[in-house]
Amino acid sequence: MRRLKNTMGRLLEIIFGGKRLGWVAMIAFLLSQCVTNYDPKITENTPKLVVDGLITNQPGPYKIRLQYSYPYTNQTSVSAIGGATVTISDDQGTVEKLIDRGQGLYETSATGIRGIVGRKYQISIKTPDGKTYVSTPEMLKAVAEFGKFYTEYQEVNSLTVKGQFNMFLDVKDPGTPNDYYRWKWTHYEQLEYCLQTVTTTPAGIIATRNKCCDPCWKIEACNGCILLANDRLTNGQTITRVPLGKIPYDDISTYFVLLEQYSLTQEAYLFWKGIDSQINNSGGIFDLPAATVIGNVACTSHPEEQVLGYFGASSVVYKSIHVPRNTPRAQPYNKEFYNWSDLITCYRCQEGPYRTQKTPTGW
Amino acid sequence: MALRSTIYFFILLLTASYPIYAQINGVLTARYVVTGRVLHFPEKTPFAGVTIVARGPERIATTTKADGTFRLELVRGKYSIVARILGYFTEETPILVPEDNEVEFLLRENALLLQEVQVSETKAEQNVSKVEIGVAKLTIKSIKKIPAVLGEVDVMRSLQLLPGVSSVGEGATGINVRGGGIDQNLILVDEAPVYNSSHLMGLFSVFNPDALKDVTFYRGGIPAQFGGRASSVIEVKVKEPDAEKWKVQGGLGLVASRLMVDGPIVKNKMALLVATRASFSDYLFRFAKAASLKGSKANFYDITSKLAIKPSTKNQIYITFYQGKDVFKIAGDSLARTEVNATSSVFDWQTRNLTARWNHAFSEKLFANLTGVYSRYAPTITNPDSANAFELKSGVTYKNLKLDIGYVAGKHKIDAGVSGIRYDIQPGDLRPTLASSNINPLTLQQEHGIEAAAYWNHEIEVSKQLSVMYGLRYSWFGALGPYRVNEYEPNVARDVTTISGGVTYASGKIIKTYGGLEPRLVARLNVSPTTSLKFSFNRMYQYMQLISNTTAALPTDRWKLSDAFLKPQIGDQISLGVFKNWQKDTYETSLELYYKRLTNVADYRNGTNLTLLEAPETAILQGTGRSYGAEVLVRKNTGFLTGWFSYTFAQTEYLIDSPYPEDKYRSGIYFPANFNKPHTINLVLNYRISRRTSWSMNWVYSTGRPITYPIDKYFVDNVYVPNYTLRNQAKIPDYHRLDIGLTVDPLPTTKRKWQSGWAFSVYNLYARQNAYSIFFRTKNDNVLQFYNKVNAYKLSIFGTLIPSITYNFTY
Repeated sequence: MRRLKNTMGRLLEIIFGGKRLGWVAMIAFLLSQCVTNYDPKITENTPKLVVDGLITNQPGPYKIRLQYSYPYTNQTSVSAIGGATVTISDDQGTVEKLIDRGQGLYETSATGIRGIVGRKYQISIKTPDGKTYVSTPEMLKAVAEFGKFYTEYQEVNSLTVKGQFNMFLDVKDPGTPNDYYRWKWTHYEQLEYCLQTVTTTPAGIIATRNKCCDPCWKIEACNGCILLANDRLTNGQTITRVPLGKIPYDDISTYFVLLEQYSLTQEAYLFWKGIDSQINNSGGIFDLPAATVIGNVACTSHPEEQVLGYFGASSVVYKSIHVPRNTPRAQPYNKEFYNWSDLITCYRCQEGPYRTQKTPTGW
Repeated sequence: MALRSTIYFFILLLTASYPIYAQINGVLTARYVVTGRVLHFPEKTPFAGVTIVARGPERIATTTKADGTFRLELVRGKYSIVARILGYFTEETPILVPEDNEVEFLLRENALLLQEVQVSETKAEQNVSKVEIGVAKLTIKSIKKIPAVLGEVDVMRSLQLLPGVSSVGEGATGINVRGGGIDQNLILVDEAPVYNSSHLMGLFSVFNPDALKDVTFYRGGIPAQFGGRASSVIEVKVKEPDAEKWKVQGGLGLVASRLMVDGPIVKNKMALLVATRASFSDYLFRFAKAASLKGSKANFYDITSKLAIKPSTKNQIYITFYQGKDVFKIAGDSLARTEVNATSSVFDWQTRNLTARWNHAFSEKLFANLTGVYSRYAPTITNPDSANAFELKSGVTYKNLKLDIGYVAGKHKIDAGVSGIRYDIQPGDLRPTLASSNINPLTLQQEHGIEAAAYWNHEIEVSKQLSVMYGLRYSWFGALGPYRVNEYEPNVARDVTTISGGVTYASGKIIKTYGGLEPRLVARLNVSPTTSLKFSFNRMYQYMQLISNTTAALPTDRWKLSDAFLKPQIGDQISLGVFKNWQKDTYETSLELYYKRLTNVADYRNGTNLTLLEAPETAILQGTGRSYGAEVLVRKNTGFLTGWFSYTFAQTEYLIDSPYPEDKYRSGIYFPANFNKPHTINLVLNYRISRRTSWSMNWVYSTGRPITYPIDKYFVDNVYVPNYTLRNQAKIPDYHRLDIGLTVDPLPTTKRKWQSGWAFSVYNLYARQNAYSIFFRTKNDNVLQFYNKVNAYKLSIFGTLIPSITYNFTY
C-alpha cells in the first residue's frame, strides 16, 4: 500500500508539474493552434462587373462605383469602368441618369433624386461594350432610433497601448418583425500638422513638421468591419451589447466618433452577412463553407454572366459621440518618438479618403 | 469419428486413476495419467491450444485439444502444472502424483498484457473463409496498442486507420465511411444508438476503452439485422462483468482518468461492471496562448455500467447503462450561432442510454433476444450574460423494442426479427433565463416519428466452396403529428416569403410515410483453401439525419426526421473482394472494390443559419452522391512484428440541384465532398521487444481534403472580398503523420495483486504542421483596407508533436 502511495505521489507530481516537465507546456501548442502563410498559386480570372452603391433617405449626391474584379493576389489599383450609362429609378416613376465622374464613379446631382421610405429603388447600367444590367427593386425601409452608446475600458497587454475602450450599442427594436441593421463608424481627429518628415542622416535623425494651412481632419474608419444585427430572436426588445469596435488608449484627448445606423432589407442583410463570413473566415472547423455571395444585380443581356456587388437602399441616422479618455488611470505611453522641429511653411490639407477640410457632422 | 472419440474418452476416464506401465531404459516404471481441462474465464468455454507444462521429477509439455482437455502421463512425485498462453495470466497448480489426477484451469485474459497474437475467437484464416466483406473486428487489446493522442485510447481514431474511413480533419467529430456523411454511421453501444461519438468537441470518442469488449465495423456487406443508417455500422460491445472475482482497473492520463470495478454480486449468477472516466483538462487552457481561449473550459465524464443476471443456463439478462456529459465553455462568442451578442457561450451535451436485453435459449440451436432500448441525446447552449441570458435546449429521444431470433444448425445460420422505434425530437427551445433578458422565447415544433422493421438474414453453406448470406429487411417510417406543415406557392423555390398556408396534423396523425425493401447479399467463393472471392450488395434506408452546414459538425447541431419535404437517405453499395492468406495465415491480403450510390444526400442553401430555423425545408437541399474506390490491405497477424499496411483510393462526389439563385454557380455540377481524399495510406506496426515491452507506430498519409479557392477578388464598401465560385475544386496540402508508442505491461506471471503498466506515446513525431484548412483573409486591424492584400493562410490544429503518458493498473 505504501508502494502504491509512493507511485501515485510520484505520478501526480509529474502530471501536475511538480517537476516542471517540458511536455506539459507542449500541450499548449495543441490549444493555441498554428496559422502560417500559404501560397495556393491561383491564376484563373475572368473580370466580372462589380456594383457598389447605395441610396439613402438623406440628401444626395449618391455614389455608384463600377469596377471589374481582378486576380486575388493583385495589389494594383482597381480597374474602373468609365463611359457607362447608369440610371436610378423608383417604383413611382422617378428616373435619374447619373453623372460620370471618372474612375468608375457615377453620381446623382445634389438637387436630384432623394430616397423616400417605403419606395423601391433600382439601377440600370449599360456598359460601353453594350451589356445591360439591372438590379432587383430594393425597398427603402425605415430605421429604428439610435439607442444607448457606451464604452467599457479593458486593459491590453501590448507594447503600444495600455488599454482600449470597447464601444457598445443598445438599440430598442420596433415591434415589427424582420428588422435588419447595419452600423458604420468613422473617427475624426483634427490635425495640427499636415506633413511630418523624418530623415536619417549620418549626424542623426532629423524630424521636421509643417502646420496645416487650413483646418484639417484625419479620417479613420472601421473598414472591413461589417457590423450587423437582426431582431429574429429579440423582436420588440432591446438588442444589447452590439460590439462596434475599440478605441485605443493612446492619448487622453476626447475621441470623436461619427456613428451611422442603416436599415437593411433581408436581402441586403444576407449579402453583407455573406461578405462578413467570407472576409472574416478563420479557417476553423466550424466555419461555413466558402461560397459566392450573390448580390442583387443581374446581366439582362447575358444572363449567364456573374455580377458581383449590391445596390442598396437604406434609411440612415447619425450620431456623433465624444468619448472622454481622460479618466484617472495610468497615463498612456508617449506617442512621440522624435524631437520635432516646426517649419514655417504650412502644408495643404488634401481632400481624400483619409483627410478632409470639411468639419465633420456633430464635431 | 464421433464414436471413436467417445470411446477414447471413455477409456481415458477408465484409466484415469490407474497406473500404466511403460518400459524406459529397460526398467518398468509406473506412470499415472493426469487429465485436465482449460477453460476461458469467465465464460467457461473450452480453451484450445494452451501450453501445459508439468514440472517435477520430469518435465513434460503438451497442449490442450479443441475441447480444452489435456492428458499427461507422469511418474510418481510432486509436480507443478503450468497452463500458459500469450495474452492470458499464467496459472500454476501444485499436484501430487498419483494422489491428484485431475486439474482444471480457468484462464483469465490479461487486459493489460496487450499482445499482438490474436488468440481470441477470430482466427486468421477467417479472413478468407468468413462470409463477410468490408467488415473489421477490432478487439480492445489491439485498439489499446495504437499510439493515442494525449494518452487516450480511442475507438473512433483506431477506425480511421482502417481502409475506407476518412474524416474532414483532426479534431473533427465523426468519421466518413466510403463516401457517407458522419450521420450515416449507425453507432451502437450494446444496441443503443450514439448520436455524438465524441468528447471535447471531437478530440476523444465517448467510449471508455476499459469497459469495452470489442468493436465490429461494417462498411460493406451489412447484415439485415442492422438498419437505419445509410453507410456503415459500428457495433460496440461492452465487456461482460466478471462473475467470479471482484476486480479494480484504471488509469491516469494527461486529460482523463479512468476507473472500473467489476465483479459478482451473486457468484456466477449476477455480476456488475461500473466504469467511469472523467477529465481534468481545464488546467490545459491555462497554457493556452491565444486570448480567445483564455477562460475557456472543457470537461467531460462518462459512466458505463453493465449488469448481467444469469438465473439459469437458458436465460440471461443484461442491462447496460451509459451516461456521458460534456461542458465546453468558450470565452467570447466565436461559436455563438444564435445571433446574440455574448461574452461567453457554454455548450453542453449529454447522452443517456439504457439497454435491457433478455437472451433465452430454447435449445442449443434456437435462441431469442428481446431488447428494449431508451436513448436520449440532449445538447444545450447557454449564455450567462444578464442582458441576453438564454438557454437553448434541444434533444433526441429514441425508444426501441425489438425481438431477434437466431437459429444455428449445421450449414445454416438464420437471424430474423422485428423492431419498432419511436423518435421524438425537440429541435430547439430558446428561453430567456433571467427576467432582465432581452431574448424572446422561441420554441420550434417538436418532431415525432415511428420506424418499424422486419428482417430475415440467412447464411448458408451451399457447398464447400460457396457460402451465401442473403437477407431482406423491410423498413417503414411515419412522420407523426402534432405538427403544422407549411404549404408553399407552387412553381417557386421554397422560402419563408413563399409560404402560402399550412396544414395542422393532430397528435398521432400520420403526416407522411416512407418505406422500402432493403436487400442484402454477401457471397463467398473459395477458389483455393487460402483464396476466396467475395461479392456483396446492400441497400440501407435512413430516416433521420444531421443538419449541419459547417466543415465539421457541432455537437449542438440539429437532428431531423424525414418529413413531408425531407426524403429519407438511401445508400446502395456493391462491393467485390479478393482475399488471400500466405505462409500459413501469417500474412493476410485483400483487395476490395466498391461503388456506392447515395440518394437524397443533404446539402444546404448558401449562407443560411440553421440554428433555430423554423422552416428547415427552406434551407435543406437534397441531391445524389456517388462514391467508388479500391482498398488494399496487407496484414501480418503473428510473430513479434504484427500490423498492417493499407492503401485506399476513393472518390466521393455530390450532385445538388438548387432552385435558389445564391446556389446557381454550383447547382447541377458534381463536386467533391468535403472529406474526399483520393489517396490514403495507413501503416500500423507493433513490435514486441520483450515479454513486458512493445513498441508501436503508425504512419498515415492522405491527399489533402478539397477546398474552395477564390478565383478573384473585388472591392465593395471599402472591403476586399474574395470571390468563390465552384465548390471544392482545389485541395489543401497533403497530410502525413507518424506516431509512436511504447507500452510497458505488468509482469504476466507476477503474483502481486496490484499490477501496473505504463503507456507512452508521441503523436505527430516529426511535428509536421499538417494543414487543417487554407483560408483567405483581407481584414487586418492594423492596416488600412485600401492597401491590404488578400492573404492565404494555413491552419494547423495539431501543429507540433504531442507526447503523453498514461499509467494503468489492475487490482
